Amino acid sequence: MYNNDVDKKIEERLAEMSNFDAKDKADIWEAIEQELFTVDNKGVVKMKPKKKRWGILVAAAAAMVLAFGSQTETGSALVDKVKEMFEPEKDVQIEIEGDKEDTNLQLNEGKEADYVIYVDEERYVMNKTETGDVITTKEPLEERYPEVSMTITQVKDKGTEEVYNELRNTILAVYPTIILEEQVTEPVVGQMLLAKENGNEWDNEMTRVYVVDNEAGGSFIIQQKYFLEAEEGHGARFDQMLKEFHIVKE
Amino acid sequence: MLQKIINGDKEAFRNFYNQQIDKALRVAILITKNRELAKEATQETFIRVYKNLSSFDSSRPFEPWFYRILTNECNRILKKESKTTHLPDYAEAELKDTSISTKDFSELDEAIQSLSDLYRIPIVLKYLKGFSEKDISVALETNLNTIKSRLHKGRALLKDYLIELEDRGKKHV
Repeated sequence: MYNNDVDKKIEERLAEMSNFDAKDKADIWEAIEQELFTVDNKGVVKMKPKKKRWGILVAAAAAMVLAFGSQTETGSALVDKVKEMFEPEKDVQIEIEGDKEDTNLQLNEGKEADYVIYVDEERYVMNKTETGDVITTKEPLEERYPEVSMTITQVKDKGTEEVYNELRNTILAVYPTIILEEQVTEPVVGQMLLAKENGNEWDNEMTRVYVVDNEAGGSFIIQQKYFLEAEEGHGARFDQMLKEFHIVKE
Repeated sequence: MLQKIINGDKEAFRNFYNQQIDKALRVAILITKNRELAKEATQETFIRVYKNLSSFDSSRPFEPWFYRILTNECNRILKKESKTTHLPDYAEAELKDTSISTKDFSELDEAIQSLSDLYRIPIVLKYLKGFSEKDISVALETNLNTIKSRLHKGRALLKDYLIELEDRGKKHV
């Protein structure tokens, strides 16, 4: 079989398989029009529920509220209580580059025990530093690889919109190409910015930043750093761990 | 046109929609394997593009950026659906219903649909959308060499399938 024949048959089948009704186009436009251009759309039937607005939906994906008896308790006592309230480990299934993989995640608490996250300790380690909690590869990467890390910090006195607006310029100074910038509900609920260095080489540095409401008037900043080739690996694993990011309220 | 859309020009956005919708919806149908999910993903993509257009770097090619959003939306909706529905069964049935082709063609359809997303999505972007390998690499934010190898492998799998179908046909003659 000639190569051109193969290409032609694939093209033909893809075109045939993806046929749709002209009405579908009209339906989609109608729904878009209602979402973007209709001021008051109460009572209008839509293809899908309207998204919740930034600033209203601020809880973390699986935020859990724990009641603590006294604010005078020591940090370690808080940590003990947090550990009592969460399972010490979880087994999850993650899809890495198309293959499903079973992964064990271990409970780790944040610097001030105001959140917990389940970490894949087979591959990563969480260090509490002055600048934040840093999850990075257990085995240091060779020098030829750009940084791979996920750093969680908290800004207690600034709301999410203020933090995000300030952070955005700092990120863009280093990673000028915005890939996506949007509100997300997974792996956490918040504002997300995905940006990278210019270029499309395997080692172009990328960052994915989430700003999440800390439910106490402040914000969590979660910044992932990796490189283009690692997006489907480390990037996917970081997001999987973030699905198990839980805010703990005093 | 993009600047007009950023300025809130509805008519410009409508023209843009008319230009893009055909290929966008086709790509979404082939990724999700389900027309209703594809419509939802396509709708959401246009809304996101409209809202985020001001952050798009106009010195860069637009279409890979657009299709990056579209493929992400398809994946997000599929993930959401898979939590409540056993997707593969009804998804495959949905596409089979529309097949009006010969037996060989329907078998090729199954071969295409059974390809892993890793190979199928680059194949769809190349053969249906007409993207270059570089455009696909940008759209999927994946290294160019990785895309080349996925296209090569995906196409080789389909070619083997076609040859097998051809051989089977000869034996029946």
